[in-house]
Amino acid sequence: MRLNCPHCGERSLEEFTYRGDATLRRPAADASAKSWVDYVYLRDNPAGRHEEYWYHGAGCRAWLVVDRDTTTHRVHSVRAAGSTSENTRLNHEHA
Amino acid sequence: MPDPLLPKPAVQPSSVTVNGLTLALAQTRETVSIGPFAKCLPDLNAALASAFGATLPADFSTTSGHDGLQLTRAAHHQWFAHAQAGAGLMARLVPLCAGLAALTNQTDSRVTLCLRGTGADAVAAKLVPVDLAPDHFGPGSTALTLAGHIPVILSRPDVTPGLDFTVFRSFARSLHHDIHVAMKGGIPNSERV
Repeated sequence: MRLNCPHCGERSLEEFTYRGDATLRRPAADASAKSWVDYVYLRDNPAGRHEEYWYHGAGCRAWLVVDRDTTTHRVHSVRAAGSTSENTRLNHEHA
Repeated sequence: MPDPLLPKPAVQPSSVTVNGLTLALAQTRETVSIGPFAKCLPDLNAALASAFGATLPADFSTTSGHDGLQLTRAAHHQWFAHAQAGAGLMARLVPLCAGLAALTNQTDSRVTLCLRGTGADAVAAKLVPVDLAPDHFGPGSTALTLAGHIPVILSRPDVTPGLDFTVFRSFARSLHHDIHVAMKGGIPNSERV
């Protein structure tokens, strides 16, 4: 598998480290214990398109969000975590 | 009484030659890192363009401007400005970048090892995982990558066979050793086409 880093271009998978589910959202401070348990411990195992954090340790050392199909391994997009589009999306979701 | 600090080259000898390939320590250049503040990149580029005729490259490459200035993208949202020793680079950049970017003198933080000669790509390919094919990594190209286990800024300065490895000064001896070993190992048969 190769990932098309938005900073470095297409690089081999060995340069990247999987850093977890990019769809998790931290609950509000006064959220229920169940919400916190779900956030801290429980993970879905989706079949299909999924957004994941990857770290480009052997390149630009940036955190990336990879939109990947877990059943076909097709990579739909790779963008920088924290980029404008990312923040816009998060703000929209939190609104 | 502590010993006085004496300037020493990062690697010795400063140049080695193996089978027609040369690995040499580049002349020290003035280097300043530029970290643009949020939303200041357009104004910063305009200021650099007016003063030096060059802007910060958006991709991993190196551009040249007036007075020997070179701008290299060195990391995510960070660039290096290089100029010859004695150019007074920081003094010129400070008023230009005031309120637009953070500047840090990196002159002593990194050194550049220059690998030159036919087969340089084949030797470098033993250490770096990036595609060095000329149509992919041509003159002016730059890549952040690893040479063995050492983070480097790899660049191809021009059309002559050769690559530059810019590395933290404290890693220079290890990198020099690794490249030297790769040079002595020769060019792999797979590259002799």
